[in-house]
Amino acid sequence: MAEARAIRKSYQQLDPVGGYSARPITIILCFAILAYAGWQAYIGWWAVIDPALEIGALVAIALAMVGVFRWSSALRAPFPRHGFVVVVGLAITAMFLDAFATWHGADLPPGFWGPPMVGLTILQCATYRPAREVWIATTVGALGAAVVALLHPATAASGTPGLVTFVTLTVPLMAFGFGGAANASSLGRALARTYSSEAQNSRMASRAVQERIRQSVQHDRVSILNRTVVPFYTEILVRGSVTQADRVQAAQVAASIRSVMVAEAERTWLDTVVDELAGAGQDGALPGSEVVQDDDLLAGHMDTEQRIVLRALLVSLFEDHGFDPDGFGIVITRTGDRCEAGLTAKLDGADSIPRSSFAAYLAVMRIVFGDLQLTFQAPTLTLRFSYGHK
Amino acid sequence: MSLDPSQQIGRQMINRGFFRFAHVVGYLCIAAAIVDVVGYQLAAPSVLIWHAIFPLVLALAALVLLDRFRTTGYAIAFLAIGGVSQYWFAVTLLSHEHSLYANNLAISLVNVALIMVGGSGFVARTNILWSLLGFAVGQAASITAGLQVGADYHVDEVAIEVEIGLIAVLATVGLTRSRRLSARPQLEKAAFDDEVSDLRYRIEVQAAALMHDTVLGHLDAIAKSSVGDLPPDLARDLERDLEVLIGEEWLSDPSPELDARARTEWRASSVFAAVQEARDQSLNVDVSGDLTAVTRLDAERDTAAGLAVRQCLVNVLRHAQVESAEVVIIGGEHEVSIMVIDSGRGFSEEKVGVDRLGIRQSVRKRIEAVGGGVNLWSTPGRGTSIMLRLPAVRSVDDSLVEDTSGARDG
Repeated sequence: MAEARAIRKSYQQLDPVGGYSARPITIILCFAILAYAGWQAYIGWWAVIDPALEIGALVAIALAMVGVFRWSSALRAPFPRHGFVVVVGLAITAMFLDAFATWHGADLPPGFWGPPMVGLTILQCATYRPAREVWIATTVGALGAAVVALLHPATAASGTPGLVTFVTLTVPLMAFGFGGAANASSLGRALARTYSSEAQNSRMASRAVQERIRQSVQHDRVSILNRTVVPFYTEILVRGSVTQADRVQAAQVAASIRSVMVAEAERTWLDTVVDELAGAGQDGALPGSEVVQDDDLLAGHMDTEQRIVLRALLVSLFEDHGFDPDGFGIVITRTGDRCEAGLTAKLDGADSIPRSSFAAYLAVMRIVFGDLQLTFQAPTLTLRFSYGHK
Repeated sequence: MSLDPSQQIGRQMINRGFFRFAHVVGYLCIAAAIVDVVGYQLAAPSVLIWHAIFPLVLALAALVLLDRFRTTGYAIAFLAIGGVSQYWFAVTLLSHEHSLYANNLAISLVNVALIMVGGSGFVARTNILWSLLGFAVGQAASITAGLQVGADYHVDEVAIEVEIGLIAVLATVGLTRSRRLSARPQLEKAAFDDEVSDLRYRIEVQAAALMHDTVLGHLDAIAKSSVGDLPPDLARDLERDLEVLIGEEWLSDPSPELDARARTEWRASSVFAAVQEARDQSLNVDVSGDLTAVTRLDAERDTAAGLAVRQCLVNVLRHAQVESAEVVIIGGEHEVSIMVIDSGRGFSEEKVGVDRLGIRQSVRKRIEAVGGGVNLWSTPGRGTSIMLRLPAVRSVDDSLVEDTSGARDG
């Protein structure tokens, strides 16, 4: 069941860090596709009857690569479905234009580049879209290539059996496309198995560390009570009576304990994390939880994944060499059934967020907080995102 | 979604994904070559080339086996059978080249399938070597066939292009490994911290409720009571509060006792021996978790785990400046994790001198050598946690987890 759910998601959605790290391969493939298409168009130019269509084909594949480049950016994740449709549509258009450019000639050029480029384009997107969509796109592309194989006048003229021409034109496309789908499906299933294994480990870990934390909490509480309540109770029990002073002191101790409990209850995990990070700073100049404006304790409404990635991002930001404590702040407010958060950080000396040490966490945040908006006007980084109110 | 599949799992996952891609391409290429034979045969019924399908079916069968059992032996068998098949296929096709209008693409398809052998490794470098071997086998078979029948067989441009493309992608995967792995440790630590934070929150809530039910309620009772003798009921409540506050079991969660068999198995492990050795050197080591999980390690990994844990505890003794440490054992479905935790002075792994080999050699390399992985979280001044992950040889079902989970070792 988990596996079935997993393959309905893309590898980028299932493992955002893996998706982020695949970007260099995507970019290299973009350039490789453009170079290969250009080279094949050049060496097969002799077979081109309509140069305008051939140039149109090159423009279409170039636009497809621009789309892949733009939508595969970690800071724009996840790669949208409409983006995938546009990119594959442009690649298939390029394939048809390439075929039409030679339609009235006697031969398909030996390096007819349309089908393999459609296949490679789909393969590029396999990291970013679910396996099922990759299968569908490959099937559609292969049908298009089959139409070209069957109808192109050069097929009949060449003397090569139609079935062989069909294979020649469709196999490169199907190999890249179905190969990419198999890759995406394999990764999805493997991640699904990892989830169940990790969930089990997590439960085991919880049991293991629970006792340690329990002892720690008990120690903290007893330390406080030992200073106030234990001597007070002991004195009353030894004396066997209650005085007016005892009554006043009992009320004061109770009020004091209550105030501590209220203060603790009015903190969220986010306050604790920021305080811990500030405490870890060596010169004490880092900001504490006072820079977290979350009057309604809305940070507690984030789910586990949202908490984890925000925690990792904060750690990374605080460790950044250019992090300026004066420019850091988090504001969380409620709008309807959504909690809206804004994070501002001043990063002296930073010139590019995609190349920064925390780019990977921003990539994960794009997946976890679907509406993350990121602006960077050196040196200020601003993040805006929202999540559901439980 | 998984924010923190471990590095080892992540690498294996990516390689399995690559194998699936490579083998699907291989299936398609061989199947396409079969269709080509059918196409040529139908176009020229008088030229008998049906038998060229047999070597292709053989190659396909070898690929199915390789896909099913991804080992070096099956990879070599696929290349051997594929090479012979390619020779047979190419001789048949090239013998009738002119009468069939045959092109070299059908032969290229099998060459590409051989390049897509995938191999048996989990490292990009190894996969590149396997693909080069497949390329060499395919070219040798094709060129030999061409020379034998005297056909006009020239360089297989398609296979060269595919080989170059594959090497470029695999090299990029290898080169971007650091990028892929750079964020994971922080996410793993964040996940661990979040879990601990959540647990602490829940226990704090429990503690607050207990305080409210006991101490606060009774303080209020004193504040509202009449001046004079202490009411007997209130005296009893105060005495009970004191017992609870001074006692050790305030928030404790009774755990099932370790049964005799589990205790025997745990005490036979190398990890137990390492713990005992540290205790003999006056380090107070608290052991908790699924102790019998260590019995699911084979002898080699048990020894490696014992020695690695020993080194971790030696480090605590020598460098952490604390007198106690904690060892937590976690039994997963397919692996056993052992955490060594101390709240000592911590350190920065990057700043550890190259001459200090404790963590690097005696822990990390030792565990990686037996197929495991090591995660280390340490913050100067705030302690160190080292997690050793080792593949288990028996599944959870076979172990005593159900009987002993949560047990504590005295």
